[in-house]
Amino acid sequence: MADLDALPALARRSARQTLSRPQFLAPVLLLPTIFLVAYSGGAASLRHLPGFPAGYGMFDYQIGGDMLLSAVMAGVIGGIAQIVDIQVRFIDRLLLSPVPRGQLLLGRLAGIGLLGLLGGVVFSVIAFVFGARPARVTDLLILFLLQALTAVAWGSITTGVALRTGKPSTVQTLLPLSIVLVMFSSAFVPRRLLDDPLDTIARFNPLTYVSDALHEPWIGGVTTATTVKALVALAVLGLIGAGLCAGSLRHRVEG
Amino acid sequence: MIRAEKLARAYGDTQAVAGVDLSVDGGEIFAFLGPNGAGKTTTVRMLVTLLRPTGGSASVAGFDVVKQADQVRRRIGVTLQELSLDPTMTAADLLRLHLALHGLTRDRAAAARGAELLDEFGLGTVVKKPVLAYSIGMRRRLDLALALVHRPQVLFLDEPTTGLDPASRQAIWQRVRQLRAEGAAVFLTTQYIEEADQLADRVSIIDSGEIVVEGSPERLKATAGNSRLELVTEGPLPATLGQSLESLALLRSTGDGTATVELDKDEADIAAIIRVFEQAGVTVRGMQVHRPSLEDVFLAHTGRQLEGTHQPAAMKAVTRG
Amino acid sequence: MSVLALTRRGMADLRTSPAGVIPDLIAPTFLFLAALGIFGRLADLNNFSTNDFTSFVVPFGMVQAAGLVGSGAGVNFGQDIRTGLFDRLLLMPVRRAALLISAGIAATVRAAIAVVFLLLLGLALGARPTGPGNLLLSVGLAVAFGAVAAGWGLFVALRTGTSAAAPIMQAPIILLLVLGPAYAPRELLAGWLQPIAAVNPVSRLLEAARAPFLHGATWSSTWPGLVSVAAMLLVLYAAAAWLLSRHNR
Repeated sequence: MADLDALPALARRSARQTLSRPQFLAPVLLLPTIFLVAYSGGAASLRHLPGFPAGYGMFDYQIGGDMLLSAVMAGVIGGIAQIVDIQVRFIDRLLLSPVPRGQLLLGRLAGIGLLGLLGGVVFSVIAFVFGARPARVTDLLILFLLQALTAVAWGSITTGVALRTGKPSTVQTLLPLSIVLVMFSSAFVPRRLLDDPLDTIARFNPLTYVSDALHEPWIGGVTTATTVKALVALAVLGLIGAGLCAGSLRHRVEG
Repeated sequence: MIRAEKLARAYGDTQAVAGVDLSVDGGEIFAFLGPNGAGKTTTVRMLVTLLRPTGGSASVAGFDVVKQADQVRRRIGVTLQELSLDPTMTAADLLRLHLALHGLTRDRAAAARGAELLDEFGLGTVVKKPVLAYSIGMRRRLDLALALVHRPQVLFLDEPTTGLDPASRQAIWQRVRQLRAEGAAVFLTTQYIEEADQLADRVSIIDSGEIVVEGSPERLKATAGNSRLELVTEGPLPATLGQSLESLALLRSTGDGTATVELDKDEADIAAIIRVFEQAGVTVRGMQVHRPSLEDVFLAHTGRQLEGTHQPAAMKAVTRG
Repeated sequence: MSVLALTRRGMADLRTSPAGVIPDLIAPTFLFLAALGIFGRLADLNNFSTNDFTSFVVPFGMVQAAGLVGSGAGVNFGQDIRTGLFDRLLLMPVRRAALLISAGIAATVRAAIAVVFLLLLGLALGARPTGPGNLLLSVGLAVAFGAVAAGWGLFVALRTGTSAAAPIMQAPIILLLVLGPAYAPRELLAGWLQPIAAVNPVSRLLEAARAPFLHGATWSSTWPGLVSVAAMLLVLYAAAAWLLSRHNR
């Protein structure tokens, strides 16, 4: 389709914008690494408790949670990159082109997806180096797909907020908020080991279902049911994000 | 090429642009002259589809700016006042992206044209450096080069020379004249009198969201009154001097060692006027002819000066152009 | 006198708007609540030193808050260097050491506010220290860690000359905190972590600050923490002072 001509260039630009700034990479790679070290080392004894997946170590569990954190951070960085584009008015250059608005957004989100994928690959390598193995090779592919989609879905929300508010401070607050949402899911501790009210929060937190699917390749192997639940959760987040983006873009032109 | 009828934009109760009519043809440079906050940029943003009008209508290259916005965007080149450049990107990156955004990824001629433009604008040696390292002049030239790559029929330049040194300004003016010669319609906003005067075929003066007067620079200046001859004199000015000058010019005012004479036509015989002074026993030590400028036009129509501090309005004449 | 004036300048935002302290509190509070919530079951283990996880983790929350807020000193300092304000201060008849000390004190005061907030939150959630004297020791050690983190932040700011180095100011502080008995006693850490925790000076500090919440502070539980914190302060501020003495020379 000739209409999608600009998409690769937009995605490349979006990915390069984030990859060229260390302050954008730190939340995607450095922050989850700190969590991985802290939780897999500091809370290693959790594996002795009933309710923890038998036969696995804390590192095996943490790696999935860190991948979720990395993907969500990639999404947040997408929103921050959008704010940078609004601040330097680069967005006007894009909006002045004849490329349909939807494609401009897709280009931005594809770049965010690539950043999410980068986190997936880096943390899979770390997992391999420290002895974790996915149950099947195909599990790894599903993991990468989910990782990229998580970044895209979360990124659509943060991009929507960026377009709507145009305020760096608002988008910056999404960073700690997103970390909290990841922590209040099953990312770092299995649901069976969470007490209320945390367990209830985790049950209603869509990231819990994504986290469950990201854990599976390292703990027991991918199952269709969990993967489908994750995809549904991501679709819901993505729809919210798409609605937010569409409304925000209209708002931007109508002023 | 550009038509606007009663084009308006309100923000709540504030009317940023209050019903602007304008028309620009191909091969014409049209300048929008006005102080900061007059509504110039708001008008441009509506015409280039970045902002939806709240009243009136406009078309560019025959397409409605609201209903056929994508068709408009295909045919325009735009440089905005705030440069909309990502400082981490290089000129080469920006050119590649620009080609892709205009569906010219596989168009070798367009790519070559882009590279030539960058060369011509003195950016050939820095295409691989991030924009961060560029001076303001280089950034403005890069912005203009990018706006021209896809050969737009209509060009919108929002204060294209603000903050530039005279040499860079001349280079941009030269290129804009060339574009006119090639048949493009150029819509330019500026707060520099000289720019509008030197470059534009037609000028609209906008103030507080309304066009107060429009016409060619020459015509506008002609409406702002006659040229004045200001003389520095020595010796007492006789009371009959005005009468002696009658057939040549009108003596407007006299002061301590000065006299101002209004010339009713540009070809006034200045030598004859000076002879009249000498015959009356007055020595003329110096003189200066003051021709009306667009600044005078602005002052006459708004009661304020365009640049610098605002002066109280003695009388505000509003002439719709 | 100049130290006092400069310290007041470093805390100007807090004096004009006490709400300015809120951003300092957000990250430490959530990290503490998350640790409390998600690792609470660790105390169910037979060999865990207590079955009161809240009391166990509150001192960590306090030390963590001090570390995060303290390292922020470097961000402001880096900004002053980048904007040139720092060079103007250097032109004034002020001893260079005063610039460093005042920035350190301002950050430590901010850290102390965060520590007290975390303590009150912990007490509200059911943490029980063994006595008021003991409690003061915990708070003092946590605040001292705020001064340590500020020293590191100032060192990085002087080395890099920019506030953009914030991740380098904060990440090592957080790593030092979690490469020790943060969520569980040393003997329950992962095998690879135990030797690291043994040499990590923050482990000693954390254990000394934690004792008052478990079985009560003793001289033997306290002195290793005091020695660690003194050593860290000495090394970091000496290094920062050395960089400052070479600044623009």
